[in-house]
Amino acid sequence: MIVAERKPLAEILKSVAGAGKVLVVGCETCVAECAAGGRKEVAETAALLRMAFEQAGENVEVREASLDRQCVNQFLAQAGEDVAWADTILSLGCGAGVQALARFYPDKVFVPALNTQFIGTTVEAGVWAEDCSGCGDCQLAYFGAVCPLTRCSKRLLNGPCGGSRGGKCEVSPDVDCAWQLIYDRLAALNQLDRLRAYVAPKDWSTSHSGRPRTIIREDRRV
Amino acid sequence: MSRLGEQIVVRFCHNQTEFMNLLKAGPAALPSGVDLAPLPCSGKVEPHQILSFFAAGADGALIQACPPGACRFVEGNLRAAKRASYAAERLSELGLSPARVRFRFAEAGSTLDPMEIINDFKENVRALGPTGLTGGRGGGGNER
Amino acid sequence: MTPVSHLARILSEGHFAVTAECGPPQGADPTPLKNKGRLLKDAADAVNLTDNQTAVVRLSSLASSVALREMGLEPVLQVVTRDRNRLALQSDLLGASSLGLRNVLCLTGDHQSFGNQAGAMGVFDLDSIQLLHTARTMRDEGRLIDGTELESRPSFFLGAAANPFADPLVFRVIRLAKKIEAGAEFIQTQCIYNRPRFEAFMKQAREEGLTERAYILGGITPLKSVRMAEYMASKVAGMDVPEKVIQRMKGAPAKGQGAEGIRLAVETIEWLKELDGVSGVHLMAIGWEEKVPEILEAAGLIPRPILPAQAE
Repeated sequence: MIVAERKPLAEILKSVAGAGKVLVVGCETCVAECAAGGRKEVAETAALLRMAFEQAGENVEVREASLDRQCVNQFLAQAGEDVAWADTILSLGCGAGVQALARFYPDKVFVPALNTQFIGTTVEAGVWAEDCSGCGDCQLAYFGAVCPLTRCSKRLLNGPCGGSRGGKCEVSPDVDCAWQLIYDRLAALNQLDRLRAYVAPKDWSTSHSGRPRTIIREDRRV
Repeated sequence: MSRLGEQIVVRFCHNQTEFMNLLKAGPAALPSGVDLAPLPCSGKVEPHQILSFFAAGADGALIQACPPGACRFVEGNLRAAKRASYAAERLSELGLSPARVRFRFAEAGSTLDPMEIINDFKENVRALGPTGLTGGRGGGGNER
Repeated sequence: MTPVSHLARILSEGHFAVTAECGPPQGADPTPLKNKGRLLKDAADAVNLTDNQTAVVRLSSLASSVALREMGLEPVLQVVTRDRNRLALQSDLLGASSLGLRNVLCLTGDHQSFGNQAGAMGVFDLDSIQLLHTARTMRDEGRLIDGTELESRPSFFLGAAANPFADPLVFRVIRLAKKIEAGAEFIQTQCIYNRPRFEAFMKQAREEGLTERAYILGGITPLKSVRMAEYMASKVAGMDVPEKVIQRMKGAPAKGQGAEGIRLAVETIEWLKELDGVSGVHLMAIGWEEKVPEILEAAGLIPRPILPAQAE
């Protein structure tokens, strides 16, 4: 899922300064899974905002709403009444959700409550970790299904570097060395000869580095 | 609601017999400004609920859980402890004392005196003073 | 292939080579660098110029290499892939060759979080192995890595770093092989304190035939103090400083720790000279360059061979 984290309250308050009617809108997909922007986080954020506004002596109304997804127009349409009521909308969606809302309701002010970070997985309850960078040319088959671009701090394709220590990355003992993981997996799968092969430089043109990307499927257009 | 700076919300696991008895004794048995209600498990408490209490005007929130190892839902009480702590941290982002959220595990094998526990907490909250928040306009949430 | 640099000649003629390391200054004035160069001039066959080492911005290794070359020293241009993409790297390689720089050490580089520009984007468009491959393709095929033909070819003696002490240990010789496959002709290793481990590494390297294909120079860093030894043991990634070595340093009197560190360095160099498959020593005395001549003298490696001028 897309993993995000709520911004510090002070930063959110600064970005909604001057608002009179704030709609706090969440998303029930990725950001609900990572406890950043689901219904409960909407309620939490709304409570904090109400208290902060009252402390500041500001007369601001706060409403709450949540959408199944903020990245699909059919769901965005459901927020129409609440959006019309508000003068400022604080979205607890990911960066895509905030932008989708703004495109759908182009005359309204949308402000992000989250810092969207990565594509990742729930490792265990309360722990989310990054797995995929969306490079557009997946080569996981050759690396024991451990992505060297995403999980290696230096994006090495012919790793490891000389800083791998005890299975951890030189950057931090909290970060696993991806190449130790790749080595262990390939060893277990009896595919260690893959590590001897030279991997050529990545073609980054399929990644974000090439350009902002769009996929079109004519068979799915109406 | 009186505004003496000691509006406290008390939530307890309904397994706590002494607290249930206090509840059954009716509102007259409680000191003023105490909102007492049971939960099927302390683990039912979530941070957004705790924060909503404060947004609506509470000056303190007390959560009374069963002793560690005695939760009928295995770990509900342990999770509640973490959530209470999280909610308290959020209060400090507003400049409010995290001590306004008190989480208690009941002591195993001893009889509780709920009035003593509640009054003790009320005293602490009174010393902290009112939060200055009354709930304002649009309080309470109208989630769809 | 005819050796293209003084260092390449020294190694191909079978001399035990000596390379040293020089960190450029954090400023635009090359004087501190030239002062270090003077200390190292007749002590080493070639001197490495580091490239924004530990991700700290310094006078570029390319400019530094030119400065030392003008003084009559033989530079080894270090190039990291952390700071430049493949366009800049290929362009800089052409530039280096055009300025007469021949020895190029291809590295990935320490992560940017270690240095003073921690918010910088780490480029890593290529890794060290891909950089070796790129430089070799430019030199031997006269092409860039996309296939574009060069108007004229660069000339290089290519090197890489090896760390026999990092994890996964079993993989270190495979990685050495990969670097040599990709074009590395000389190797400078991480500094050696754990001799048995280095010996095991060299044994495997010999068994894989790698010492026939590349010159391996053992890394040496003299320890200045117990504190330095302990710091390196625990805080520096990929460093292996055995307890025995720390104890030895502790055994020296407070003011004599540096002398003990130098004694240890000299002993290790003497041991390297006898180790099968080792072609030289790479002396990294960063911040202590003035001790390099003393260490090499004690190890019997000074004066350096002077080779007759080679016909171009």
